[in-house]
Amino acid sequence: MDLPALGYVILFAPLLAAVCITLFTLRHKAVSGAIAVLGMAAALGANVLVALEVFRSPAGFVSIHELEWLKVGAVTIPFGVQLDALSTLMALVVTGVGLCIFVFSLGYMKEEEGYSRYFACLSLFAFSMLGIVVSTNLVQTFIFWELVGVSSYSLIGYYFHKDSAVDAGKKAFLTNRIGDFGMTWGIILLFYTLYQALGPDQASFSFAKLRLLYEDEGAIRAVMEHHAGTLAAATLLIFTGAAAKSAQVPLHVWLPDAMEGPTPVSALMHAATMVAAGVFLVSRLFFLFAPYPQALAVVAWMGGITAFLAAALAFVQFDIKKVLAYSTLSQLGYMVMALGMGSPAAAMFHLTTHAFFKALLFLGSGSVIHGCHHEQDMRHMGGLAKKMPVTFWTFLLGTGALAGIFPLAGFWSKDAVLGAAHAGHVPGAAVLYGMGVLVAFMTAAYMGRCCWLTFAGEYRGHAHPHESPITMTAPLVVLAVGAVLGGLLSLPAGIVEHAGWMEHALTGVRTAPSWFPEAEVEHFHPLVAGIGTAAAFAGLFVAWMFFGKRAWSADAFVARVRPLHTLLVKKYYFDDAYLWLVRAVQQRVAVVCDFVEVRILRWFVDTLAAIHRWIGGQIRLLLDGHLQRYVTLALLGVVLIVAAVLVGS
Amino acid sequence: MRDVMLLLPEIGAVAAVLAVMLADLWLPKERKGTLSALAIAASVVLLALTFVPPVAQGGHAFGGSFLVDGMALLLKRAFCVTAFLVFLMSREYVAELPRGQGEFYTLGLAALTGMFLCASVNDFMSLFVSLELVTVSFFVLAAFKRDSKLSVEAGLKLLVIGSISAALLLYGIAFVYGATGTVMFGVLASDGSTFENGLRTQAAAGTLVLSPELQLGLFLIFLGLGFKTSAVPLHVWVPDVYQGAPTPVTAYLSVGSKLAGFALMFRLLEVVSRAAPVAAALTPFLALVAALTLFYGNLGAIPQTNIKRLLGYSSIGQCGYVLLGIAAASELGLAWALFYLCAYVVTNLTVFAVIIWVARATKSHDIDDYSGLARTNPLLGTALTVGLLSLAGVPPFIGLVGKFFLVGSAFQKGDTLRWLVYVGLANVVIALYYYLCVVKRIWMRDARTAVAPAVPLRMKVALAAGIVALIVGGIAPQFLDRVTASAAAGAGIVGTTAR
Repeated sequence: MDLPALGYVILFAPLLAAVCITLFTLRHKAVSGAIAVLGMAAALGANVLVALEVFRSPAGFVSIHELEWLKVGAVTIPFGVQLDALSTLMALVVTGVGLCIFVFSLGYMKEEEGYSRYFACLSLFAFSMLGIVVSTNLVQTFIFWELVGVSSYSLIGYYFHKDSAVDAGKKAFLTNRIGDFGMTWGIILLFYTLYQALGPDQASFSFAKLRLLYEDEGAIRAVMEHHAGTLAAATLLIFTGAAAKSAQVPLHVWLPDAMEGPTPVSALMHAATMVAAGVFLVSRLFFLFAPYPQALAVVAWMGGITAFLAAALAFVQFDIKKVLAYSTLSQLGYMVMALGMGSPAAAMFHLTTHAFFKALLFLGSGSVIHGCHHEQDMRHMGGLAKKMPVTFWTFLLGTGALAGIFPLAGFWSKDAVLGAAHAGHVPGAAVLYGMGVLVAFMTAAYMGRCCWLTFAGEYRGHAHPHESPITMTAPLVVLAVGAVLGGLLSLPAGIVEHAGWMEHALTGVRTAPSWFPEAEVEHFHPLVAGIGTAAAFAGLFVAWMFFGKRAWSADAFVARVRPLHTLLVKKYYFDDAYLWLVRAVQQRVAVVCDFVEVRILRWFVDTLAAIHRWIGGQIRLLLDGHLQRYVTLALLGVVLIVAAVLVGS
Repeated sequence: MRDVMLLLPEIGAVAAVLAVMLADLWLPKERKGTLSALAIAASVVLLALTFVPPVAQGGHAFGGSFLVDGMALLLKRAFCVTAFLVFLMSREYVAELPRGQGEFYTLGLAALTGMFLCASVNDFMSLFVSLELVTVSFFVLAAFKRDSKLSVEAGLKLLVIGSISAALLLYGIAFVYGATGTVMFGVLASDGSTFENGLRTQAAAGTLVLSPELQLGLFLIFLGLGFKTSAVPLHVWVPDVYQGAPTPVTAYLSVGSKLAGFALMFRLLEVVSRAAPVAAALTPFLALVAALTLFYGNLGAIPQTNIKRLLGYSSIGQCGYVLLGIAAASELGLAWALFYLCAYVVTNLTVFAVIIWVARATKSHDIDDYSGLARTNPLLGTALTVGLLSLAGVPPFIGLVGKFFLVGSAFQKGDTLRWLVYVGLANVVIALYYYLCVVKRIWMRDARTAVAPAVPLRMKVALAAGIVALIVGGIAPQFLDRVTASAAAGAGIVGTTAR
């Protein structure tokens, strides 16, 4: 099969699965699960074939297939698939990690009532995400962007009988809407500006055409001369969409709450797919950001601040999934920071390795929760290492990878991010690099705390923990292999002779536009790696002193920094601030709107309807069955109509 | 001989009438079901006959009083489809009648013969006779259930109002003959010069205007034809007859008879609009009738509780939309009016098919008895929903396309008809209300009775085909549009040469 056909297979196989389940097999659990897994496996299979083709091609290879979907005046909106290094890699992450999670769900969701519904939603979600990945243009991306929003809503609110789950679904959806709103305007503004400046032939929604436009330095400089502000604004507005999906401060509030969904959903959404969409989009559109150092600085600082704030929050969580959620936030901050530092390659590299070990950790926590009979509080765990050996060892590998221990995957990608920060040129890059190192320390520390609380010591709960079935442990092992070997994807120049193939394959992304001064290739920097590793080990040491050896008392430490602790427990008061804002502003506007609608508009509409109903009633009475009256009416009508026209003309 | 060959479908129809009549005499009582098959087969054969070369090539016969052109062929095919569908859906209904099965199909085919002639007439005398052939058949069909008071009353009302409209029509024809000195369309249509007798130069402006007698004559003719199309003011029979007549007859009446009336209107319009002053005089008149019809039908439908009566008012409203296109008196308006009517055949017959089969189970035409239909029989519920939404003009169904372009053709007419455009749009909203009230009951209410209507496989296939046709036609209207547009463009090309 040729590439576009394979691309459509990747995109539509999960949708087909979702449709089949919804229409035919809702009552047959086993069949539904099998269909969903098959759909995902088909997508992965097609994806591997695509990868073999794409990664063997020279750097900058792109295959685009488009159908004309809408045509409004001179503007054409296509629908199609774009397969290049970036989308192939991202799709591999989604389908590969996704398949593991699908298989894991077979066992994890066994007891659930809405089993088929779950797999239908999961497949739909995978379809939406893949739609973003293979999209060829901004409008298509936006459509799938919204689909991700909808399907994530249905998955987060999966336990719809629980109020907290419903609220979490709503919160995720609404927070994302804020970002989407910005993104809509960003897309419109970008297109409109180019349309005004260059006319209908040049302006386009298509990534390839936009990129081509930005390659022409003279043309784009001319546009920027008159529209510098608008283009920068459009770029940043598009970034708000990415920031909301990738949960950057201050639009991060939805992600921790989204843990209300089933654990495999958390793994899928927060490791491999939804939150990665923002990072992916910025990488895809990096050429828009590149000419604007200010925009890049905003991105970098947003990422750095998110990384730091979220890492601190992870320390005060006792829910094992919440720890991982804040860890995800923090790692996303890393990726966004790398983007801001001008290195999409580092961001995508970290995204890929992170997808493996974070999915592993989430599924590991799912296995723990499953084993402890739906207990999520780490204070009621402990000593699980012996009872759940496979889960324990794989979780440990995941923790090591996340902390950045040599030679696990996380070490290499985190080093790439820190290296980018070290070499970066944005204002305050040195501070951001310092924060990055600090976050590395904190990451190791809170993950150490999590591991020791969960797996070491004596069991403190009341259930009878047991190891999970093979459908759950097998994906753990597969993902653990990824977490260990993921670094091989992109070993830095300096260690090996050539930069990793990913660097090579992502050239088209990294250097966009070609006239823009090339970012320097980050060689392996022993000092950066050394400092990063030292920070990680320091973090693990601190965690061990508190929770392993218990030489230091956590309670005593908390007592000493009480105000800080309160601040963290209250999550920096973000939720309270938003709530206040909603009550003080939105609620008052809503009261006015409500008055206008109920008292004025509804009255108007009701009256209008009542008038018509009354006339209808009168008309009905005209024809009451008496033939004499009918004849009179008819002849009177003839006379009146003829008279009216004759008089009128 | 060529003349006779052109009449092949009409000859076939008469032969079918005779065949059914004879078969009725010979067939024993328990085998009367064969008559239904015979009638269905006849409608298919007649459809095939319209494709036979001498007929399909078109031409005129009998000194120009009979004409076969693109529009006539299209309408004849639409009549065949109508008859086919009506016979198809009424097989069980008719089989359960105590007597007169043979007569039902005989009269149905006789009406079809009349409709065929209506599509091809080319002078006022044949027009009147053809129209009466249709009307008289329907008098009897409407009163077919002799033991039902409502049915007999329906027949009587149809007869009385029909006679009055025939009188108006004849009166109008007499005026036109008096003004122009001819009853031949071909002569009238030649280049408009024949109208000179009826035109008078307005001294002040120097423009030609119609003499009052010509104007009055044309108005009366159109009003008389309005009886068939259910246009105000001769619509008065519609609600009672729709409610009282046997449901298959109502279905036939609502589509076939209406289409016959419109066929004559199209033909006349195409003839008279060659003389610009005549067309100009007709436009405000037709626009007024269209607006009154729209408001009457759609407002009157709101308080109805009987589905057949509701569809009666709906049928008046639908007629208003076609008149809107006719008032535009342009080729575009004519093409979309044809399009709309072709779509209307399928839409309305889908709706009536559901009504026949629901009533067989519930023995009621009360709208409340349609509650929960989507659950008791999803196919019937979906078919009725799709049909009603298409009538209402909701996307993606075919009704939307027709309405959009009919209103659009009035819009293109410029400022003179701008007000009619707004009337058309306002009526879309009003109509939506009463159609949706039925749809709401179908889907959102619990069923009142436990009786689940069952339909035979034949009807399942027909209904599914209807649903698909309405959706496909709405998404890809270009196929039907191409047919109707070429029929409208080719209309009367042969006729101009006929003297």
